[in-house]
Amino acid sequence: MNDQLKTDTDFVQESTPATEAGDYTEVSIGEFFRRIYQVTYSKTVGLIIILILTAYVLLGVLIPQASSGVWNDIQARENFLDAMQNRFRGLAALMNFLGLFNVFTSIGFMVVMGALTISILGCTTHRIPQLWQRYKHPRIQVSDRFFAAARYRGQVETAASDEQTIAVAKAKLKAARYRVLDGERNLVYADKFSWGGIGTVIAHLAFILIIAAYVITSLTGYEAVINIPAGGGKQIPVGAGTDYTLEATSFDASFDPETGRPTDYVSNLILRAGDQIVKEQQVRVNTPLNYGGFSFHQGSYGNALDITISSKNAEVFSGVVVQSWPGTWMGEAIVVGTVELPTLGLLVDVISPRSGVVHPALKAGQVMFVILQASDGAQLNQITVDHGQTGKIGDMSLTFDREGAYTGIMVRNDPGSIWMGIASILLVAGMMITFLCRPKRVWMRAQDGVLMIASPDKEDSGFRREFTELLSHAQTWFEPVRSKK
Amino acid sequence: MTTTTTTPAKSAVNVASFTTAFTIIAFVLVTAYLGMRMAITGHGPFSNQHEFAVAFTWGILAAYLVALWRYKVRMLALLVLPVAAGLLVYAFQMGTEVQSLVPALQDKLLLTIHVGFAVLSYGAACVSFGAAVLYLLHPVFKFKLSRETFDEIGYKAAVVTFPLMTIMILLGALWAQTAWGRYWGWDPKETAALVTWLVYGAFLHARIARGWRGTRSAVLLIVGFAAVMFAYFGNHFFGGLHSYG
Repeated sequence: MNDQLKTDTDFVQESTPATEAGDYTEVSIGEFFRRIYQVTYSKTVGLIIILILTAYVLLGVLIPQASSGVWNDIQARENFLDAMQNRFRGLAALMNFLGLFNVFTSIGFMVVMGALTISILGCTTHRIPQLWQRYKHPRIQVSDRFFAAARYRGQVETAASDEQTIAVAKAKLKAARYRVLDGERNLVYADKFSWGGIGTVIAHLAFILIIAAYVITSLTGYEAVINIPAGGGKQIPVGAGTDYTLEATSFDASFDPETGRPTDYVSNLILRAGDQIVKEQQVRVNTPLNYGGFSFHQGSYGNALDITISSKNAEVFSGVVVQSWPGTWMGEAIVVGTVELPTLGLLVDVISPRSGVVHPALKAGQVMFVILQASDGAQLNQITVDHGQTGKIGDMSLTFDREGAYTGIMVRNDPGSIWMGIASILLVAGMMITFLCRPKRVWMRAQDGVLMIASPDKEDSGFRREFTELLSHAQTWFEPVRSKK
Repeated sequence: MTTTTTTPAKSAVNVASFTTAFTIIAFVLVTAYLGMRMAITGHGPFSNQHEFAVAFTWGILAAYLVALWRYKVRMLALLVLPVAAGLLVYAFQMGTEVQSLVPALQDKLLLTIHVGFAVLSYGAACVSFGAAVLYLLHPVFKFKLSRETFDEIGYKAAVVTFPLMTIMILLGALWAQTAWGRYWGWDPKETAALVTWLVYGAFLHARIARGWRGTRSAVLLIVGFAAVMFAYFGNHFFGGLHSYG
């Protein structure tokens, strides 16, 4: 009886040869790969991998993660690890060894993602022939016992001949949009959405495409932040092998006067290719400038200072310095910008208090110039200068002309994003097919004035309702049977 | 004899009917409240924790009422309504004033549909949680309804939760691409949403492919809803790009 109720999947699984007990001596290369393949499409293995991935991602949420920028910068990474040492003490070294501070770029995470990809591929390639078999050559013939033991079953008495009964049933099933296939001895098989299983294939392949898109993004994507002084006409190279430059003609930050919450950040940007202006646009957080496969996003903003530096009465620098590096000095927050003077072999750090901070050594309207040796960073001298004034160190003149702002623009070029978009559409489509187009199967047999109806499908209240409805409709297909009394 | 046995049953039915009526009234009132806020602000009521908590409550009530209409199981209210009530209490602990949108949220269409899908998805997740807990409690309290009914409701609610959550995450990725130029940045909130998605994915995988039913299935649904709450309240301790106040 059980054989008659098995699903098509069971039939396919039965067709694979069983491993002989105690056969440990010789395994052919073909058998070896077949067994590996079996592991890849094992649903248990797939489930275990999903649970491991879930645990891994959860660790990435619970444990502080270093961004790729921090992790790739040796000094920043050391600072981060010092902070973790203070927080996790003796465990920090082990956690670092296990890659728990950079979970999403760790080797372990990559291995799990790789295993998941292989598992999905194995499941999908294993499932496609089964789905094709079920769609193209469904099991039609069933025994009489099937109608007595199927999960969903019922029967209708008819006064018509068995041939007439099955002909009516076929016509009604076709009218109800079932695919109807003839069996032997007044038997019909009918199904709906027999192709519905393709939904899981699409969804699984979409997931692999998502992983592939992420890999493309990671390997070929370009990402940089460029800080551009607002106003002043300075053109900053975009990089990435292009001749593009960006100029910010202005930057404005607006705030709600009552709550102080930011309401708008807007930069007026001019994009040039060589000397030609190719695009000019107001860029906001949700309104990037797009050109030539690149997108330019409003990322940050901050202080910038207009300064002039002369040496031996010759001007060596005149322009805007972006103060994009936060720091602390004498216990108070400061911001720092650096000017390179390659002709003199020097660096000049320009320091001012962070916005809103009252600094004990730097009054409002003051900046400090710190002269450093470019080769080793050794500090040579320093001077504090008021707004509009010039300070002198030896034969160097340092002038603080005026305060301004800079806008931080994120530059992106991501060949993976188009694949991510396609994968997203496929994922949703696959899910919709899976959940909305669930395959349904029904068998009917006319025998001795009775139409037997049955289905072995999985327990499901929706299908049970549909089956009950079908049974109830079937009562109306035929003339009422007169009592035999 | 007949009278004494039928009267308590009628009372029970009446009390239960009142419960449903009050739930419908609560749903209408929450809908009206959210509608008024939308009329004032011009965008979906999701710009801060207060609005999102009320919207989450709306999603739970909506999902519960749909489940009630579909399965006629009022007992779900025992688990689902306390969660909704708790969220409302939480909502009014947060600032209730109407606030302007911060620049990152100023895409009214994406804000409305991205968070809208989250609300619907989380609401369905709460119903699946309620059904799962009742399934586990069934042997203790001997409910009249069959244990399988709760198993079925939990599964069906998860089947609704998962695609809605998928769309929510994908819309978030689309928005991140527009706002920040990258569709995924391992921001704590989006990573927590991924954890939730993986738990429900594991549940469906276990259920459909491995035939998991009953206790194991119910436990996974409870873990899934715990992940939902973890992702939801994560704003308070995650930081990151989803901290809007």
